Amino acid sequence: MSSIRRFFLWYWLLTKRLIKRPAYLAVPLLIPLFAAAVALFSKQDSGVLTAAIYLEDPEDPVACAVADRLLNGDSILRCVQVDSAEAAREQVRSGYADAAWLFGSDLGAGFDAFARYGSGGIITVAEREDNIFLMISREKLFAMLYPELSFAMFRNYLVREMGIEDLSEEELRDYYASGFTAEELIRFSYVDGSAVDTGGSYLTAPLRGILSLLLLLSGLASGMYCYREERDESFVWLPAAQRRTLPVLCHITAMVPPAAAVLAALAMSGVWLGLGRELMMMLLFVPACAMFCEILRCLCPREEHYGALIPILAVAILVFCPVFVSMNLGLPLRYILPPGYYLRTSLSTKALWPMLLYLAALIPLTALCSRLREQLLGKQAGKL
Amino acid sequence: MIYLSSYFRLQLKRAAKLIPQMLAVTLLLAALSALAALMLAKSNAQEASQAKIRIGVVGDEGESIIDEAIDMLGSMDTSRFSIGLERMEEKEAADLLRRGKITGYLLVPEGFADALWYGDHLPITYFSNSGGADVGAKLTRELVVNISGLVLETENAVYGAQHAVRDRLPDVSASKAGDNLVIRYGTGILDRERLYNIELLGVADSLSLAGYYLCGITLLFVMLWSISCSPFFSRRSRELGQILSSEGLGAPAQVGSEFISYLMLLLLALAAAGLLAFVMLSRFGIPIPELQNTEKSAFSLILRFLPPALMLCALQFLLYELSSSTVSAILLQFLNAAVQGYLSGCFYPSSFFPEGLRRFGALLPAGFGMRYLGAGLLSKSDPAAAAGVWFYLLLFLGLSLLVRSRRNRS
Amino acid sequence: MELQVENIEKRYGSKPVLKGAGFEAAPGDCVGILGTNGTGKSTLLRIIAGVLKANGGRCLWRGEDLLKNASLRAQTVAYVPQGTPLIEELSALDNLRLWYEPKALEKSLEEGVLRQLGIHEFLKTGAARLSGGMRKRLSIGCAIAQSPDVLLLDEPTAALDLVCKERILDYFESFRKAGGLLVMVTHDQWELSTCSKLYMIRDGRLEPYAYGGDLRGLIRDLDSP
Repeated sequence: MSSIRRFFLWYWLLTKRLIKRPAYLAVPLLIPLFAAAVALFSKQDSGVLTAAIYLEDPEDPVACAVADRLLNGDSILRCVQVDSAEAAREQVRSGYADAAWLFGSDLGAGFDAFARYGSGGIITVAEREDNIFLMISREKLFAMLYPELSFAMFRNYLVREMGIEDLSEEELRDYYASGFTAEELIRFSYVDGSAVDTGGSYLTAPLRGILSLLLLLSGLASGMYCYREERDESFVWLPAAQRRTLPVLCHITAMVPPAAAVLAALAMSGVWLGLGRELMMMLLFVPACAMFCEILRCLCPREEHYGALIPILAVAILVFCPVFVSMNLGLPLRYILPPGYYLRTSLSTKALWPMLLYLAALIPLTALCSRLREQLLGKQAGKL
Repeated sequence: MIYLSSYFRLQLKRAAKLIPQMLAVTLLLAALSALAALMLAKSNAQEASQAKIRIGVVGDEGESIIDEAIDMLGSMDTSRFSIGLERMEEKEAADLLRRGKITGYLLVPEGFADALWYGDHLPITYFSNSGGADVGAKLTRELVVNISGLVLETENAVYGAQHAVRDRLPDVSASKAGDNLVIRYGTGILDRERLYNIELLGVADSLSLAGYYLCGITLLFVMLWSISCSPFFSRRSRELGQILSSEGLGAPAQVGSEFISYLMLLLLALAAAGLLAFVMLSRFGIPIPELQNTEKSAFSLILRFLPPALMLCALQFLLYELSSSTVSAILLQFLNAAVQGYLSGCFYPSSFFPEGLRRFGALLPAGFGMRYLGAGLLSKSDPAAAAGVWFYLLLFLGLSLLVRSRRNRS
Repeated sequence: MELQVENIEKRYGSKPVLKGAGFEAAPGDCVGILGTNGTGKSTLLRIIAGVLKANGGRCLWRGEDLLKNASLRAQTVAYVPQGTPLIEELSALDNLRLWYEPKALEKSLEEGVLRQLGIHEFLKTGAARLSGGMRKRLSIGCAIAQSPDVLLLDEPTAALDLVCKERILDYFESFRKAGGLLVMVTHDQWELSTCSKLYMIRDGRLEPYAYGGDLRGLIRDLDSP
């Protein structure tokens, strides 16, 4: 039998030993389900912040225009309209809403007064606590009421400051409209030149990070198997050199079914970056994880130590790798963890090169650690 | 009874053997969790010197309009805290973006000011990292769109005013009129906080962000910590269980002994983690409003944390019972932590989710745990949350008993 | 003598276990190694098999040092440890497929060694569900996949029933008759009786031993310093 066929036979049999476990098989089945569920829910109305809006005068055209923009715009700030100021405040108190925006009657007059005299307090903003997210939400509010506010300022300037008092409202609006220059000032682009997709939901965004962590865990869990197989000398008939490299293959076999499930999950959840890119990233990530897991296993003399590392790694990855947000802590840990490279590659194709370098660096490290472990096992045998 | 006490002692001994590395894991986990909490708290604090979102601005050195725009935006009260615009070279901007030091950068094309003078627009390009659909990226994009809208509306007004002045006041310089209007905008409208009458209602009735994340991180800690205990479960002898069962020490006694031993480990871990968290919170001054100015003792807080910890402990025990191998056990434990943690709001606050997902997450064990812990922090009672916690606890223990009985009989 | 094990030394840290152990054997020999627990019997076997590295000495097979020639060792020597190194989750057949070429496997199951060992009777059974005797037979079957010249066995029939013991020892007999060489660590009287040479390991060295069937005498000799 040729070497290639032998390799695939071993690969199949090592995989078979895993997939015979119903619990192991459940994991690749549950991953796409979880992702699909999150993707489905992400299409529903949701927001990072919720603002309850109340219009004291529902007929006020200015207030209605602002409210319409807030309620129907595409934003991660979700707005809901309520029937009374107290109801809005109650939503904030109870935690259902983060802020209440209460528009007084005759918002147009309020803007005029602001433009003319600098009078404030036109909109009541009720919040539970003052934090950075709510400050940002006020930016959003301002942007939504700015067209009307800007017109009020424009009118005040022309009529009162420049003294052009004979302009009708219609003429003012015509002059305002005549200043139109462009629909948008800023266009978006990605630094690596890839096509811009302004879609995608913040709800599905962390999925890639969570799933990459799950993949790494598959490799780590496979390492626990390897301890048992070492104890039982299951591969004693393999030549020594192949025995050293076998654990990496075992980790890869443990990771491939979940990796396929992860790709399916990413495709379903809308964070898909294209087949070519996703496959390339996965082809680098899986071996990197396998070698990383093997290095850890070689450095942990006992199964208990190795098992103890797993939750620490999980939390470290959640904290230091850009799973939810990129917390730039300046620590070198994120250059050691495989998911860090994988996630940075998902943000920019230019990060593929560092990942390749990382993979290349892992190869000799893995070989070195395997030898160290062999010596360690030799010493341990004497203690038995 | 001799068998029961012997078996119980055996399980305690097995658990005790794991204590050294379990404590090391706990302290490391707690330190990492506290670090995450510290970062979240710092990002939430009002630090005048550091903007939340840094955006680079790249353009021709001769384009003074860029500096003017940056100065104008920078003089606003709130923008100092939410957006920081910094002038820089393109190479520097690309490097900072790659390293994650800035969220993105605006590239103002050459001749932008001249084109503006003639009423034309050369588009400004906002560069960011691809693939970013997370909260930070979405927020930044919206803010950039907001800035774009502000600028365009202002332009609208300025050009419109110039047209009106040209038509109606031919003796007056339209350009100067336009400049004056820009100054009005700069000094008047952009000082927008004056528009609002801000009321702070306080956090008495619901959790603050810090309090919320205290509950979330605690539950996540418990769920992830269980993975480190896999040796306790993987080395159990199933044959021994069958033999003991035939000698009269059935599933309830076996499960009870093992569960209590596992629980001892968890309580020890919580105590160690709690101590470390307390030290770090005090040392770094992380304010958790619910813990300040209250009469709550540490003991009462720990008591409050106990039922959700018990419930999660029972769930982990059940998952270990159901797993026939270490590999699947570890994966199931993590999947449990990840799925429940995500859906119950331990990562993103549940307020981020749509209504349906929020309701579903609230029904999960970790969802009830969050509510229970949250009520505890607010010194309120939540009977529904308590009922959910105890229901799940009994359900998981019951299922574990069932699985063990079946295995002992097979 | 085709197999010459010379001056094998092995230390675990500062503790010496083997201090110049050695023996000789020819094809058709069955070498038995006796000794109390912890004297280095399994260690010696594992060194010859290449599982452990020696601190000194050599193991010559037809003049070539097996300890320095991994590929020759892989072709020449097969080792069956005391436990049963099988992949529990796989069937007996799948365990064999890991080590045999497909055609060789088929042939051996039809008319070869695997048939002789009776492995064809439980091919589809999962390794975890096999009895002790079946597992040992399967382990031996896996070990001899490369048709080795030397078979190293660590207590091959320990804890097996008599019928199974006989089956395995019959196989060993046919292996020897075909020119194979057996080296086994043993505590079993029946196994002892099949050995053509016996060595007792004492103080890290192998001393030839003559066993005349006196079990009590053997125990006394094992116990004496």
